[in-house]
Amino acid sequence: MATITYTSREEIEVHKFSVLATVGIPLLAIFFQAYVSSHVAFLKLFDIPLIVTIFFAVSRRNQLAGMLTGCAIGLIQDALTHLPIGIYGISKTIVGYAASSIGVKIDVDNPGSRFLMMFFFTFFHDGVYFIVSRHLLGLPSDWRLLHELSAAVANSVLAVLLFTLMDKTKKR
Amino acid sequence: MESFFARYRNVTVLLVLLMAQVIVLATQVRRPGAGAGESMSLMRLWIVGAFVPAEKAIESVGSGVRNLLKSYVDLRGVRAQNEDLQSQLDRLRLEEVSLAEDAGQARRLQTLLAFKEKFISQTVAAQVIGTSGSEHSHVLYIDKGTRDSIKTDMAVITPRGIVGKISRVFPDNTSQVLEINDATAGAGIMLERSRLRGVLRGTASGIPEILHIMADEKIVPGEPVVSSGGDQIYPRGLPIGTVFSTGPDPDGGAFMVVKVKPSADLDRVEEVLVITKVVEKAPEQQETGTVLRAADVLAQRLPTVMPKPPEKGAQEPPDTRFLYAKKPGNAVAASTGGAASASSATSEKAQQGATSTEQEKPKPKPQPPKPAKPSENPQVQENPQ
Repeated sequence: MATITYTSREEIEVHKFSVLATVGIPLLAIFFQAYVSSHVAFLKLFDIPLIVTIFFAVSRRNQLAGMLTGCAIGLIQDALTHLPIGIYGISKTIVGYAASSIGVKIDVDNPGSRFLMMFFFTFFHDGVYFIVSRHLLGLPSDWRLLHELSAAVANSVLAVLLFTLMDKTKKR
Repeated sequence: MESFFARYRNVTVLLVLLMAQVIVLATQVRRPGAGAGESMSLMRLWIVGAFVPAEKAIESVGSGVRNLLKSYVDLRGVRAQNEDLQSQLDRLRLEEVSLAEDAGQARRLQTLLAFKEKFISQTVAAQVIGTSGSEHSHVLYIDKGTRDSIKTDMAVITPRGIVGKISRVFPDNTSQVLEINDATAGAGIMLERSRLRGVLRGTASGIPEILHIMADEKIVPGEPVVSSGGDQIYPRGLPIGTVFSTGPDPDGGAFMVVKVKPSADLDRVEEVLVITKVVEKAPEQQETGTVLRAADVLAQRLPTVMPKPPEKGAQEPPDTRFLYAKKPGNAVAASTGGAASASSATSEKAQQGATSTEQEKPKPKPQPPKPAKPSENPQVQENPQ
């Protein structure tokens, strides 16, 4: 007779990371994004810092840690642009909070759910970015649905690969 | 109250974080009419300062390896390339002669109209060391800064065309370049063939557009776009790009949408030139001491009827212009006729140079009348009177 088991919230694993991984991976992601995209233009379609934000948020399953990680990564990204500091900061703070909230409720170790989660959050992140830049600051920006969808797909595919790599930095 | 914050601690922190960032954003937004001197935030300074040295180090190692490999690859086809370049050089020399002639003519006309031109007198070469990494911000970082006299709003170009302008200068030999296709960038432009002027503005998609072109104007794709110089940043006449497509205004306005493909490959820029000095001067006239009159310039532009070669045995008719010119009151008529026949002199600059010198010397003995050659300027012989 088959047995159906349910995973309670208490049984969901909460991962921890070393200080090196906590600081090094986001910085490496931002550096890679800034440096390599000057040589490989299509890399601008990806948002590797966003992937890292979501990874840490869903792995720690702590809303406070998720939003602080998102805030720090976003602010550093902002500093490298010519736009006002805080646009990426706000977007990634909200995404970090939302991702860690979802991480508590669903299984985020499955590649399929990771793909869907990343797809949704890329779209959500770009939406928040657009609202802040266009409607809060009045900056010239367009919402290009097809472009956003392709960026979401590209980020989701990359996230599945990168999540597998970053899983190795988790403390057991 | 305490239990409320304990219960909604995370949401409270989220709201505090968001509020703090909104306040930070609000302090950075420049109000319309504020001064151009923007102070740089300390945070931006620190973060750029932390990232740039690593980018520079990797770039220098990477470029060393790339150069080594490239040198080897280049050597393999150097002979064929050399021959190709030699033939190209020969062709360009011929073109140069033709262009120099046109340029000389343009200079003379500009002098007449008291035009002032801007000339690029000093540039600084710089290496691209990074980008913003964001598709929302089309900026580059270059390895030249305050030590190299780089200042904000200096134009950044490549031999192929305009890249953008310096938007920020950092103290550690780094500057930020705002590319011309960024949504917040703009430039004064002129369409080379139709001579229409407009404003180029970047877009979020990275394809710049020309604004304020009326829908009934005829613009064909492929038409070159150059800087007009009206923005006081980009010197006049620098290539910006070519018209990529034209279409009606999606909002149904009176203007058309003209998309431009930048000449410089903005996605793969590696080396750039920063224009650090632009001098404004009137173009010099090459002829020594000769003041050209409007009639002379007009005459040079008129078409020329080449005289038929004299038939054998036939007597050549005397040139009556000189006879008329000697009579008082006919000088104007002679001058006009002479000017018209001198239109072909445009193509012979050396002849004109001789003309200028001759004009100043009074001739003691008038020469017997000769048949007018197409390259001669009869004005030379009139002036001694």
